[in-house]
Amino acid sequence: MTRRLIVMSSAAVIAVYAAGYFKTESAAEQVAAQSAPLQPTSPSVAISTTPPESPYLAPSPVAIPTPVPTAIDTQVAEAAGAADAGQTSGGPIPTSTSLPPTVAAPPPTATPASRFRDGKYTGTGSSRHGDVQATVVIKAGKIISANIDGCMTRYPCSVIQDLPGEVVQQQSANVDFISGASDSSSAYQEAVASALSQAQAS
Amino acid sequence: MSDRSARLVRRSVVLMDTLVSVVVVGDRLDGAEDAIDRAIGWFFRIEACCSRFDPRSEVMGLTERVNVPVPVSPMLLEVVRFALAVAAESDGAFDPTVGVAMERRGFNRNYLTGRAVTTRIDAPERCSYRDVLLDVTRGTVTLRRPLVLDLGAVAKGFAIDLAARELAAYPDFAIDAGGDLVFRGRNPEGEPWRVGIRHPRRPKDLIETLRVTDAAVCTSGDYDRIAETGEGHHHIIEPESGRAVAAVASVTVVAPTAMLADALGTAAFVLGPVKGIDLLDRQGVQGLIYSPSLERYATRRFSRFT
Repeated sequence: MTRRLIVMSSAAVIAVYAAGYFKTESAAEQVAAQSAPLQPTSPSVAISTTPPESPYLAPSPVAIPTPVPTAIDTQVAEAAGAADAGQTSGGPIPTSTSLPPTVAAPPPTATPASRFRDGKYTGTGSSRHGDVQATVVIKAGKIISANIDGCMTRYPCSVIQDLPGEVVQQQSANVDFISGASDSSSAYQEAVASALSQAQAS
Repeated sequence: MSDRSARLVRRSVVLMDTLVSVVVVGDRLDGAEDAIDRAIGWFFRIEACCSRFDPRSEVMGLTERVNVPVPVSPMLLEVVRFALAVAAESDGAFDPTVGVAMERRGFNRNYLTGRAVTTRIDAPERCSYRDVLLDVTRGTVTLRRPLVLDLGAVAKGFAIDLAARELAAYPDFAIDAGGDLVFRGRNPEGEPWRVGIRHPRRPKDLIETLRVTDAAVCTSGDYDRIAETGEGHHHIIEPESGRAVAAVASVTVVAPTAMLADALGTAAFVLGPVKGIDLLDRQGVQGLIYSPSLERYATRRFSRFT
């Protein structure tokens, strides 16, 4: 048995954190940028090529307690000091984590000029269980949140996605989540798009 | 913004062509909303880097630049590196160079814009993972022939793992990205997280329920992502023949990370029930395979989850 891939996948997370990423938009704005129809968009993510001293969205500053080595976190290394990314349980430490990468970053696209009116908008999409609701909040022409809220009060969204009503009641009493893709994110996409279309300036 | 009761914070967002839900459980939830925000942010970065459905993504920029070492972001480097490692460990059963084959079989539609992505390459079916060279020290990728990298399995899992890292301060949480899951600690009832596995032939039912903690669970099935064009077959193809795999209905992998579970699940799917379980055993992870006739194959210690 080899642990090579296990070690490599854990090391990959550490390496990317160590590289540091600069986020120019909130997650909600990126949802909007991607959801808007007929607009050429892509999230404005500038990839930093310097050590993370510029303002970027660092991992939580809360101190992570000394770990009992768990399967997921075979290494605990804060991003700031991750040049020698901890001890792995056998594999070589990737040297790339200590080099600032010379990357030709894709040019960040400008945030599209605001086309949303301030306010709070709800949209709905249909699923088998009836409607799913999304709420979008616009402030200063920007989307500050775009969340699904219609399926949270009773069952997790992941459970109601594809099971009819009575089965949801039985099954969701017994599970927290379901593994295996369902093809029904469309209801949620519909709900977000519907909310955004109301927010759009004419 | 999020649904918040005394003991948990929950949020669901649509992205990466699926629904992503995050649940953080516990009595000390200060900062959880911000942490969830940061966690979700990783999915967008992965999409910008690795999406085959966006012609402007970083990975799609590689396709035309043949025999030239192209400097790539740390994120793309790690995803490609891992994909190639899984390809090598599975003797090519998993192969990330199937991008054009996937396009030709109809898996080519951007889920937000609806636009189809079509890459024009001569003789694309002759490529393999050996045509992708990686220089970790210099941070470059070199394609030896024009090809499209399909990083879907690896990228999604990696996004989940990166998101999970943002929540490391919270001992109990779950992330669900369209049925690919990561769990830490316990559910709101104080018990190991309960995961139902979708029945591969009866979409309204669950075939099995697992109890897991501190692990990722990923399931691939022949019932999802059916191509719009042609024969309506599913999306996991044998790299050599280009045909949809017929010998497997569903693979579930339980592993320390989602990237690993996702990629090995795909590899095991292609390999079939016996060789697939063997691969999982050799890689030190646990898994479950159902054949189309619902014969069940499991790794040696899978029963500890049931």
